Amino acid sequence: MPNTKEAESFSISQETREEEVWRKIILRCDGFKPICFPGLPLFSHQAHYEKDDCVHFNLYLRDNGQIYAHCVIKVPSSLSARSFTFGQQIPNQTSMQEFLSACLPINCISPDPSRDVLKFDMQRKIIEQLQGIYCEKIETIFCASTTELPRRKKCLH
Amino acid sequence: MSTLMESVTNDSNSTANYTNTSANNFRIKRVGARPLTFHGIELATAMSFTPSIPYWYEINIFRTTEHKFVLAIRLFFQSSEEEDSVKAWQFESLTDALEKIKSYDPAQDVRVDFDAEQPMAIADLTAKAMFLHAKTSAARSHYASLIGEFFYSLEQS
Repeated sequence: MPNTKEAESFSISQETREEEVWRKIILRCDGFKPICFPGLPLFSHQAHYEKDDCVHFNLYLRDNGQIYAHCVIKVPSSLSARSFTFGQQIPNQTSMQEFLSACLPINCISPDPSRDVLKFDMQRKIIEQLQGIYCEKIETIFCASTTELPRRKKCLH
Repeated sequence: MSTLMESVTNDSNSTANYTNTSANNFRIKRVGARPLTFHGIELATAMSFTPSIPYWYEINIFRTTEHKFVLAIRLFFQSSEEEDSVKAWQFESLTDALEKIKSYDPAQDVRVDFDAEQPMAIADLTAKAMFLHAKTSAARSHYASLIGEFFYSLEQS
C-alpha cells in the first residue's frame, strides 16, 4: 500500500498522461548551446532563500526514453554573480549524483575578493546558507528520481 | 538596430567603439588591429549587465552585405577609471561565429594589477594568486551565463 505522498504523485501521473503531449523542450545551459528535444516535464522542485526562489530543479523525459536534468541556481544580488544554469542527460543514478554535485552552490559561487572584509564575510555566509538549502533538497530530489520517476516514465509510455 | 547602437550614434562624446556612419555602415575599433568596417545588419545582441557586478559583456553578431558574419565581444566597466575593450572578427559562416563565441575565454580579459617580477613575500604572493584565480573563475562563470542565455534566445527565436 503506497503512502499518501506516493499515492498523490501517482495520481498526478495518471491525470497528466491524458492531457500532456510531446512538446519541444529547450534547456538553457551556461557556456553551451541549449539542449533541445521533444519531451515532457516529469518532476519539478524549488527551494527558497529568504523570500526568493533560489534553486529550480526539473527532470524531463525525452521521447526516446532518456531523462534530462536541469538546474538553475538563482544568486541573491548581494553576491555579485549571475544565475547558474546546468542541464545534462542522466543515464543512471551515478550521473544524477554527479550532476547534483556539479550544481552545488559552493562549487559555483565564490565570495568577491575585491570586497572589504565585512562584505566578503557576508557573501561567504550567504553562500554557506545557499549550500545548506541545496543540500537539504538533494535528498528530496534524489528520492524522487529513484522512486517516482520510474513510475511516471511507465505511465507516460 | 538595437537601442544601444542608436544611442551610441547620437552621442558625439561617446568613447564607445562602434560608429554607425549611416544606416547600415559599421566601424568597430579594435585593440592592436585596424578597425573592422563593413556594410550590413545586426542579427543578434546580448548583454550581461547586472547592477551589482562592476563589469559586463556585450555580444553582437552582424551579417554583412557580402554574406559574411562579424562578431564583436565587448567588455564594459561601470567605473570610469577602467577602459572598456572590444574584440571583433569576421567569419565566413554563422556557425564559425557561434563557435568563436563558445570558445572565447574571458580569462584573457582579467586584468592583473600587480607586478609579478617584484619581490614579494610568499604569503602575499599566495593571496594575489588566490585573488587572481577567483577573478578568473568569476569572469568565466559570468561569460558562460551570458552565452547560455544568448544561445537559448537564438534557439527560441
